[in-house]
Amino acid sequence: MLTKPRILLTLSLVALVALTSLTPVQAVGMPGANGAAPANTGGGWGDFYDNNGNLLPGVIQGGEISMPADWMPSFPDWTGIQMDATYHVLTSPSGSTMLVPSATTLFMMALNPVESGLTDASGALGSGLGGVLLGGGLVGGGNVSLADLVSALTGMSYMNAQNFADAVIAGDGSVWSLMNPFGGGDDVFNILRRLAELSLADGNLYLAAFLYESCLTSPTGCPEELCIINPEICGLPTPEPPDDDAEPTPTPLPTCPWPTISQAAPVLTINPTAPNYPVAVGQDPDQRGVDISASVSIPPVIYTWWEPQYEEEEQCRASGSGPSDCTRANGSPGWLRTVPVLVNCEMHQEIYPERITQFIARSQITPSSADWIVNTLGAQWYGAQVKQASFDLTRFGTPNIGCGGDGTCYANLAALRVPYADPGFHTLTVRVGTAGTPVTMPRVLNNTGEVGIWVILPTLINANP
Amino acid sequence: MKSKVFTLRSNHLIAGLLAFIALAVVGYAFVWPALVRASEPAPAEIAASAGAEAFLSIDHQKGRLAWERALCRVSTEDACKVFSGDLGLMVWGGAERNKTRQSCQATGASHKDTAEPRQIWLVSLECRDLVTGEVTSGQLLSSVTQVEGGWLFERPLFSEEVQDVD
Repeated sequence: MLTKPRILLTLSLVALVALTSLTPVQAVGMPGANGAAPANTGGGWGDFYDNNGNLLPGVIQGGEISMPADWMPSFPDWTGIQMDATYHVLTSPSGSTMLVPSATTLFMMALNPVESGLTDASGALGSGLGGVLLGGGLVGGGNVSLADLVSALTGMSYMNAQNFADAVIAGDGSVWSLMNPFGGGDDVFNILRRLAELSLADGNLYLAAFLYESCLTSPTGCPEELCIINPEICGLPTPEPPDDDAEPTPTPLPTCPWPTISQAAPVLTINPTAPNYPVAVGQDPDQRGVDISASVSIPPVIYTWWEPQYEEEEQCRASGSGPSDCTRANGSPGWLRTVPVLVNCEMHQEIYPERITQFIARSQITPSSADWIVNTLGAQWYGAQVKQASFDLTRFGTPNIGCGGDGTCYANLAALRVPYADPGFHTLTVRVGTAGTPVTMPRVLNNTGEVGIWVILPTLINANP
Repeated sequence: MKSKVFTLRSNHLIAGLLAFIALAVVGYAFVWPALVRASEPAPAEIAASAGAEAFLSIDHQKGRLAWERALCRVSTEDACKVFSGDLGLMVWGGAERNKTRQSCQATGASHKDTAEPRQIWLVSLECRDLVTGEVTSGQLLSSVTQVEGGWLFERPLFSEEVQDVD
């Protein structure tokens, strides 16, 4: 049974666990996260990433999707609120589809491994969800235990995570009573907070992915642009004539370029705007404070794809039925047939705004300034201490968030008269989370600035030297 | 047979009237505020009700950000992070698919559990469908936590948690 002190102790080591367990996972696990090659290069990864971890051209990013899942925890029916499972979807040119669950979805899957398709009934991570469970790092080998997964996701010690795994495998529902919110700490909330922090830190947590060999069997289906380029993959009739005795085509039909994705660099700034020399508010008779301006601008994602256009043309081919009715270029008899010929690639361009879903602006005193207050200033002025090391700047202004007509999304904050109590340098941080677009993943962007707060110190000098 | 005669004099009437006035003043000054205080909702109850209302009041037309902001106004900073992250997306996906537009009002709350610094309240709510006007009602368990300066909403409890504890 998980006891409150053990959970709290474990969760207090979250940062340590995250560093020791998750960083290697992201580096090794998901190609592209740090440019590292995947640990498991066999099978489906090769359809999506090259050896340097870069997304291969032609891979279609379906963005974040949510799907109803009856294994997710629920709220009372009368509320009308359902909890969806959320995944990021990628489809390769060959049609194989990869679903990357979000951190919270993966945790809920771990609580319901059989129902969610995460694992088979034995409790070991193996095959699932109608395809092959791939994934980097933790589940890369397909032989990592449920406890490992829970441990990595929640930051719990292996022993505590094992209790979860045991309860899950027992399948008696007692897993929720391990996180009993009554009469003790709220473990569910601590876990949800931890998962939210993980997602915010990386946009997506790449601990596991599900591979479907065909988009036809994937719950998200086949993307429209792939079906246009390659209808066969989507189970649609191909434009080639359905001729039973068609001669084999020596080379594949010419086709159009793969889709491209482009986006200008986002701009994030956060700076003090007034006054020029702000002093600590306790020393300022006017208590003016500092005005701080934060601004974020994210240009739209431009997705370009080409639609092949074929025309039918009569050609003299080597095979056919009945008597020969034409002569081929080499002089031998041939048969007239109608074949599709690529005549044009029509360009399509979609402009996707990258919507801002989260805006954070904070101020944090620098370690050297905090040290100066306590040690240098404190040596002259007994009791000098840091009064407000860190605070939320949105308390002093309301962020204006939206997207313009050209698809550029923005967030602006004017935090006025921010009452700095501590002299020294303060790091200003602006951070936004985005929803991604249908062709790019959600992400977190941030930038920093600095504000200096002055202090007036009386100096005793000899007036009569 | 002896009979006792009480004579009502004017000074008795005046004394009685003064005593009544004194009692009324004391009652108004001390007893009434105490009664009012006793019937006022506790700060934790207010936080639990406000949180449950904000969580369930979803209007897909106003967008997820508006829902998150309303929730964050009555929630702790950590809870705001949770609602703005994965959990918010999970709830919002269904809300968009079902085109949910509802506004909920708490009609009462009862205290279920105290485990400092948290409290759990069973909040009764009425939700009005903003399209059809239909009203549904029910109860939701709401967890609140004590922070500097009062109480704030932390999260609604899942049905599974309640079932497993029961």
